[in-house]
Amino acid sequence: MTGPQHDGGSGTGKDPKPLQGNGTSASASKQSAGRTANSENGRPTASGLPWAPGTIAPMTAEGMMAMRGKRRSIFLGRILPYLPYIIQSGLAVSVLLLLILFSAWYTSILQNMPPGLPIQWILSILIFPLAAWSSFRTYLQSADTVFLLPLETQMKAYFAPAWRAGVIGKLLLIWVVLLVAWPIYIRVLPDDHANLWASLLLLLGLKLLFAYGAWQEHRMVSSRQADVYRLLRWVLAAASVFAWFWLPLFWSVIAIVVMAALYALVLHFPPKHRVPWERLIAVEKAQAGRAMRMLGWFVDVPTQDPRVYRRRLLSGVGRSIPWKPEEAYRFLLTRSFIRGDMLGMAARLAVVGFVLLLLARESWLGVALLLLFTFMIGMQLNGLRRTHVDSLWLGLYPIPEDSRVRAGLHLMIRVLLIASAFMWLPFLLTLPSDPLLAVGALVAAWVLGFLLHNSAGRKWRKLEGEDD
Amino acid sequence: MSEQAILKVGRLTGGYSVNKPVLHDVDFEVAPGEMVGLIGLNGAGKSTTMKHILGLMSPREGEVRIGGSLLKDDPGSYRASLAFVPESPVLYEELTVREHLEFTARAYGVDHAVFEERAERLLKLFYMKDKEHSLSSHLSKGMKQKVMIMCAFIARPPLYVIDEPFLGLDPLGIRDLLEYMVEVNREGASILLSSHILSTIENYCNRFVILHKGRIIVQGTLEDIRTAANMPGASLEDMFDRLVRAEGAGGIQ
Repeated sequence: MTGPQHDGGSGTGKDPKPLQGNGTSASASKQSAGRTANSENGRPTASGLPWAPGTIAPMTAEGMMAMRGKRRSIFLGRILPYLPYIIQSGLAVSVLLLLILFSAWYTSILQNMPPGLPIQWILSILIFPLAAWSSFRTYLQSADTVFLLPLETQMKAYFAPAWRAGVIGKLLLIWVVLLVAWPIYIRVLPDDHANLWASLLLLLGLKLLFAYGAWQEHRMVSSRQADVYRLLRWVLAAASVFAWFWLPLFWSVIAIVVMAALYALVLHFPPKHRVPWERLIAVEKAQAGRAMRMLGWFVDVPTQDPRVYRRRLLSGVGRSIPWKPEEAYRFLLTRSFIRGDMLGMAARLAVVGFVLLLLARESWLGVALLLLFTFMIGMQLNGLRRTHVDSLWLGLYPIPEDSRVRAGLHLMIRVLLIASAFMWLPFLLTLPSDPLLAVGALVAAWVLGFLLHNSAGRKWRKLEGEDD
Repeated sequence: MSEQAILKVGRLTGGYSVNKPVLHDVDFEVAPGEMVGLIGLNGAGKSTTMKHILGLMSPREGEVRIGGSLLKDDPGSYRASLAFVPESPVLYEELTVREHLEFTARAYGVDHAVFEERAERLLKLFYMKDKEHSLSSHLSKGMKQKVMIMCAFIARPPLYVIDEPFLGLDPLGIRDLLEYMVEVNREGASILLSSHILSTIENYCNRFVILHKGRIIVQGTLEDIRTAANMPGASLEDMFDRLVRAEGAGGIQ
């Protein structure tokens, strides 16, 4: 049994050949055969593997790397189609705007350096998290504990590209940050020892060291030990960066070298797995989920694993829903809502809105902000339409067909009214001095809430019709 | 029997693709208070038959009636007459065990007080009382299967469609499930059950439907099957072995 059988439909075993040796000529000819097959049908699922379709391929280092590469392209294939929508959603314009603003600010600060700028602090605080931060995309899947486990001793080849990609990307980022901050740094401290090339070199060293450390953390048998080592990594990253920018050259070099040596030494002590399958699979799942959720901020993406939060305080919500089949789905949706991501998003917006309105409650700007935040929460709640859209039980249980839309809209208007009333609370302070503004704000927010609800109702019913 | 059959699968032909039906002319009935075992090899068409009964797939030819009506005639009563236990548990991650039971009871219109009583009994019977308030994502596979079973029994419809219920259940769970099935059976409910544990269901089912490659090769009581297989006094497992192998060789000689 070899790895690629389960991977994306290649090697379906229709024409199984015996395991080949590790001869390079054999793999090379397979590679060309695979490429030909790929160019013929042009499908990504059959591409990228250095063996012909239907072959039980030799798991050479080359094959392992190719498999990771293929999994990576499958993942990118899931993400990339959404990019145009994200750009359309205004992200591109916002980023461009931020870049222009930043450039203007950067030029002005270089021209008029504010005296006493704590650049050592700023630079250290900017750099050290980037030095400590390490993550790896392995694209491992649950099935790998069955299919790749027998190849455990050869997994180095599979992980090498993950490791490289994890280090290089973050190294470039940390270098860019340093390079951008450097002109400011040398203007504030023209006589400092910290030379640019030495700093770049140091960051390369730290990045490699902490990436190695992070990988060892994954391998540790005890997750508690791994947590301790993670903390150690962050503390050492901070200590090294601060030492570099604060201590005299000699002492900083000594301190960093000693810390690095000690760190590398203590990393050897905890017992480790050769390949930490379960942890890597969990981490991979979380990372893929995070990527999809980030896409979800801009476009409607199928979320595979909704995060569930217990939220015991809210466990009573939904108990009072009438006990009848027409309202059964409302019960399910309410429970899902209070334990899901959407409540968190709405609550965060409501709290930010509340704080902003404490500051802006005395003018018409306050009303505008209240409406803006009500609108943003309404946009988030549009996601209620997609909740449980593919549920088996909703198809089988004897509940009315329009349950989903009805319950979704019902919950949406309730949350909108409660959230806008909560954000409006700061206007109570304005009530005695300007009752018209205070009362008008609440009325306006509630009217907007109903408008959003009605528009969602029309849109949802239309979309449900199309789905059918 | 056909006037009173709770489930009637009539000359059903269907499958995933229009041109390659998985089921051919499948025809059987389940009478009230009857437990019928649907048996066959992997890929024989048991789950596909069940999907047609559930309305998840539409027949290419033939029909499925529950309580005399088709799904499209009266979806509400069709659905309310039926509870399903799938082969692998399908649960809502954000609901607790008790909330699953509650959602099902609400959907099937079970009275609140009756729900409390049934839930209490089922939770105790399946040793799930201490897991009552656990989120489903924190349960083991067998516990998830128990939640599915409890959901079906909380509804108490006239027909249960149960697909491989013993997978992942502990020995006590299997025994309790069988006893509970006998109990609802006695109260008049019907059960269509698919399982590979033939030695177990042999003693519980009134009749058997043996599917092979999408066709019924034989159906009837244990005695009927013994006659068909020409194996007096044989066990269901031995007869199944003979019948299915013989089917490959062109029938019983």
